[in-house]
Order: sequence, then structure tokens, then C-alpha cells
Amino acid sequence: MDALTNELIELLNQKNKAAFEVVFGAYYPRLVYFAAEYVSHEEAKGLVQDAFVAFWEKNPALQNNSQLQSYLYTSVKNNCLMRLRREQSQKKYINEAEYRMQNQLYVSALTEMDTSALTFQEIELIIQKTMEELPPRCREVFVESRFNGKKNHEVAKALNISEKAVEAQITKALKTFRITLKDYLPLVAYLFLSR
Amino acid sequence: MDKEKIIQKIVSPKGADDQHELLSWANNSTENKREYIRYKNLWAILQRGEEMPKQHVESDFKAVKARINSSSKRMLFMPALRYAAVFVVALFTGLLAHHLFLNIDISMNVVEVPKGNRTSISLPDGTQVWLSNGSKLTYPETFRGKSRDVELMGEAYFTVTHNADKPFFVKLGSHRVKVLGTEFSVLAYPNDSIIQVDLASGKVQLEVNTSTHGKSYYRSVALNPLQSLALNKLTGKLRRSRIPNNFYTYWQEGNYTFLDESFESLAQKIDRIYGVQLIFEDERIKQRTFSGAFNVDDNIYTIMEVFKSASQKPFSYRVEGKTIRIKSIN
Repeated sequence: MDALTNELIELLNQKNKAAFEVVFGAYYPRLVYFAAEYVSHEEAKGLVQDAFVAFWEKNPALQNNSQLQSYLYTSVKNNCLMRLRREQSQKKYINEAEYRMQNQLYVSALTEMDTSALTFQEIELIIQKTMEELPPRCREVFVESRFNGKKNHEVAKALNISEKAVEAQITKALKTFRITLKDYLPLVAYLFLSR
Repeated sequence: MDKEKIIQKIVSPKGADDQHELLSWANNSTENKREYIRYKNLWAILQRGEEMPKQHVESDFKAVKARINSSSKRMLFMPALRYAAVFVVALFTGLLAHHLFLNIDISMNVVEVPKGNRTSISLPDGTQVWLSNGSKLTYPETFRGKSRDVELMGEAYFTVTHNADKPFFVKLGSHRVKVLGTEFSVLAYPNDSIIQVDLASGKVQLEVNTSTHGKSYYRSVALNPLQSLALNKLTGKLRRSRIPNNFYTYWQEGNYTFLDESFESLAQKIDRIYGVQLIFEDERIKQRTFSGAFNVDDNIYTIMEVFKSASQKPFSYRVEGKTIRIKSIN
């Protein structure tokens, strides 16, 4: 995947500001959308910013991208939990049964969530391995579309092939992912096809 | 509801009715709930956030940068605590506190902090308490009567507001600490054999519950500043020493430093701080000692790597949910 290199992690450990900005650029958007699954979008932004400020101040010693990812997701997860639980204890919500039900469900979901480095390593590994299994052309299309965020017609233009061919290659890639990702597939498929 | 429909609703919920249907389905059975949580979490983790406009990322980065630059003037204690994830249950139960409050029915607050977290609490008299790692503090809504009484299970740092007319008591099971306005920390987990009081400044005394001929009374032992006093609950023996070197860094920065501490004893701390249990697959490795430091906000994986690199004899570890199995390699 688009993992940050160990050199960058090393710079980050030395409290390099530029490296911090790179990490922010890479992880801020996805962490916000992650948190926004459990709290409001505005709250999510605040909680993720809190996590980044704390991250900079703590300057944890990290060894690789998976650990960095785990650290950030764990902080954001904890911040979300704190927010949800605080809301739970505030009386004004007690009569809103629907809201309470959702809040409780989100609290259990986040509590159960495994944000250890191993999880991210695993996901990264699965995707990496699958990528390696794709035929070269298929991989090329997939990377342009999925990781470089290009629209189908842009990919077609960049690689000088028809849009139909792009679609076909993406379908092919997804078929491969279907085998390796098994449990994850339905969601991954949504992610990949939603653009 | 079938798989596809659940996912559809998680991925793109259409209005409140849709959300309601999904939530009640999830609450229908534990299996539904488990399935819902699995998809919900996975969907959240797989988010890429590519929808976010570049300008937003840039302006939010500026906001973070501004906060980082201004926080160099931060207060003592604040950095480690402000962002600590904290679960505080403030229960306003009308607990009848016979043992503490002479049969007066006073509404009690109970603050519990789960493992791996810390929080700060302001008591009604202005006293500040930093509560840490799976600890519990019980205190009344108002301090009536001749003394200020709180009850602690676990670990806390107190900055007690001075009031000579109303001494402050921290009840620790059958023992207690009497305070006259001061800064100190208490370590008193119910399952530990030791109660430890570290005094930073001011004056406190540990009052050891002693009984002779069926009568119980408190035996007072005073502490001087920068002293540490440990009571062995089993033998009743007291040990006086200098305040530990790691005292300030631990409470102010969340750094736990240790010198020649056994793996077994460190495992106990790790359990408290991270809620992760270390299981030693052979006896020898338990007795191995380590010197070093970790921060309570580090993740457990980082800590394990620290131990691995610090250990002279190699060991391997295996993570299984909330337990880690440790085995020496020979």
C-alpha cells in the first residue's frame, strides 16, 4: 500500500517537522473519515487534530509504518470513545432512545476494535500480496485508479487504452481481491467501486 | 437482513429510517450485533478520506501547527493528561456511607478510570486528584462534617487544598492517610500486598489500622517531604525510603522508568497500564531484570519491542487478544 518509508519514520522519531507534515497529509483525511463513522464530521476533525497534537508532543518511538498507523488509529479511537462516553453520561440524551442505542453500539464497536500494529500489517500484507499476483497491466490500471485516485477516463488517457479496457482490468483485479480478501471483500468492493 | 443489505446500509445510509432499521436489527441478537460491528469497524478502518479537499487538509494542518507552537508554555501535568483517553463514570448514587460518614446520607461521586488511562478530578474543596490506571475514587458531593474524607482503590496523585480545621483523609481499605495540605501520591491497589505513600511536599501521615485485644485503632506514622513510605499489609512492616527517582517523570510526563526491575513485576504494571496480561511460558524469564523506561501512552507493541531489544537473552512473544505469551529462545 502507500506505506511511509522507514526513512520518514526515522525523521519523525527525530521530531522533524516536515516529516510530521507528510504524516499529517497521509493520515489526517482517512482518520477523519474513520472517526466520522462514529461521531459527527465536525467532532471527528477536532478529535483527530487532538490526536496529532498529542502525537507530536509525545513523539513516540516508532519502527515502521504499521506502528505509526496503529498509534494514530488507537489515539483517535480512544478520543472517539471518550467523546461517546461523555455524551452517554450527559442527561440530555437519556430520553433519546434512538441516539442512546446508536451511542452504545458505537461504544461496543470501538471497544472491540483491534488497532494493534498487527492488524495494519496484516491488511497491508494482504493487499501487497494481492497486488503482486495481478498481471502487470491489470496492476497498473488498478494503482492508477485506486491509489492515485484517477477517474476511469483519466486512467484510460494516461495508459492510452479504452475506458472499456480500464473497466475490464478493474473487474479482473477485484476478482483476484475477492479470493484473497474473503471476509473483507464486500466492503472493499464498495470502496473500490464507489469512485 | 442479508449481508448485502447490512453493508449497503453501513456504507450509504439513506435517512433516519434506514439507520433505525439497521440499529434495531443489530440490537436484535448478539450475532447480529457482532456482524454489524465487524462490518462497521472494517468500513471505518478502510476509509481513505480521499473525498477531503486538499485545502481542508492544509488549513487543518495550520490549526494543528498553531496548537503545537503555543503549547510550549503548557502547565505542569497538563501534557500527559489533557489528551489521555479517559473513561470517567460519574455516578450520582445515593450511597449510604456508614463507614465514612457517620450515618449521614450524602450523595457520593464515584470516578473510575479503566486500565491504560488517567484523568484529573477537582474535588469540591478545590483539591486536585490525578487518578490513574484502573483506579477508583469515591468522594462526597460536598464535604460536610469535621473532616474531608475520600476513598481510594488504586493509584492517585493529590494536591490537597490547605484547611487546618478540616483534615483530609484518604481511606485505603482499613488504613488511611491523614493530610494537612500538600502534594503526595498513593499506591494502594486492593490486590497488592503493599500500600505506598510518596510525599512531594507538605505533611501527611499514614494511619495504620492496628488491633490489639479486639480493639482497633490507628497507629500514625508521619512522612517528611521527599520520603516514601511502604506498608506491607501482610506483615504490618513499614519501610521508609527516599522518594523514587521516577516519581516526577511518572506523574508529570507519564514516563515510567525502572531500574533492575523483574519482568514479573513489570508485567503487573503493564497489566495495569495497558490492560494486557503477560503470560510467561517458563519460570526463568520471569526473574530476568530490566532497566529502562516507557511511556504510559505508548502502545503495548512498542513496549514489547523495547523489552525485546533490552533483553540480553532473546525471547519471543505471541499476541493473543488481551494476553501476550512470552517464551525464551534457546
